[in-house]
Amino acid sequence: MALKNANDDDFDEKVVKTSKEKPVLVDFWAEWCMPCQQLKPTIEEIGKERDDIDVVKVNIDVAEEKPQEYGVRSVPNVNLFVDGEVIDSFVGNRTKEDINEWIDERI
Amino acid sequence: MYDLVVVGAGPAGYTAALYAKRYDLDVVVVGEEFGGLCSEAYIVENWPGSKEIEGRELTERMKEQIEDIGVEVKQKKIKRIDRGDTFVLEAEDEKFEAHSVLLALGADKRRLNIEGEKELVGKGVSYCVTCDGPLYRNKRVAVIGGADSGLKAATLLAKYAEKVYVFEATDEMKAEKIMIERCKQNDKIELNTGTVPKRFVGDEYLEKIVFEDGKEVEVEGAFVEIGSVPNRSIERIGEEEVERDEDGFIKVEDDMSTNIEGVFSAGDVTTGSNKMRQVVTAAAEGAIAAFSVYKYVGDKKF
Repeated sequence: MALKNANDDDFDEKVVKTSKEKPVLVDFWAEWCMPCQQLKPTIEEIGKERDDIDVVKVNIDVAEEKPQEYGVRSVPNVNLFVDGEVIDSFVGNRTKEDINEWIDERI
Repeated sequence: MYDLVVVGAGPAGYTAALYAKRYDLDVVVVGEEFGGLCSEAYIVENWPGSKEIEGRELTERMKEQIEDIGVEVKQKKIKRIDRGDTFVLEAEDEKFEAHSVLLALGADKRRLNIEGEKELVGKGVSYCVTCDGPLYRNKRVAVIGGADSGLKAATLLAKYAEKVYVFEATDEMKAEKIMIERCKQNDKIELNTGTVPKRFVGDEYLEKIVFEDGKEVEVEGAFVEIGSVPNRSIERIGEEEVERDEDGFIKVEDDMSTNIEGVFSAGDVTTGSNKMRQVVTAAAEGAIAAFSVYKYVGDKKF
């Protein structure tokens, strides 16, 4: 199980650095966003079930710099980090199967 | 084995489940998005009994109400429905067997289908103002569409944004008079009619909108609020096609039955209620459908 939360201070450590060893799936989310609430359990399950990636949740009201830095203009906003870089992203709610497939196609 | 599987977890599906459960039917609700489109509504002011309520809260309450009486609501996508002696509905990791099916599939936000739109989704182009509005604090944004949902979006955006342009394609705003007045009184909101967007422009993020008449407006966000289209995630039951009208709405009779025996439909996806597509009409159709299912299941003596 590799489910974590990150903020502006530990984002580089938990996401950028870690992604040089294994892919990291980052979910930028907000309390006030309904699709974010719906995606949350799915993202958490993926984090608990997969050992080959890390899953990191970032609350954009707590972390303000990183969402800006990565140009988050819609939430939920899911980014896949490999080797320190975002290789792809999607916005909005999706099913677990779709997300797992999306990840597998990219790593 | 269920008496009824409700496909769709919006106001129509929830209300159908509420009534079905009270008729003592075994019912389950399976939907992709809890609350459906209504859950994204900034504010609902025409649901009787609530002066104003967030769409999200309204649908959460509906969900709680049916869960309280023992209806399970599952977040899953039904991929296929087959029919033998009973209906078999397949989700990715679960199968549901039922005597009847209610298609309460709801609606999806309509796309403009113009250049740059697809590429800039999530990078300035948005279909959910309650999700993304707060990300545009002190920015300039546009709302495409001058009907109720567009003007509601504009009033919400005006709380955050520096400037909100509303662009309506026809010659007059289509929203309720009360909404138009509210926007006119808001200094941040500028209403434009006869403006048809041609393309969204931006390298990495949205930078401007170009209109058919050549006009250009620089904005960082564009919220597309031009209505909805019926969801088409389920087209057939086994090999049999669910009949729809030319605009894609599932054809229903007054009792919410479809062309397929045992398959009913309710809410924004149907031709019912003069296609008014309100929370109140979705709920009404759900109730009617539940009663029809009750009669159907009883008559068949399953």
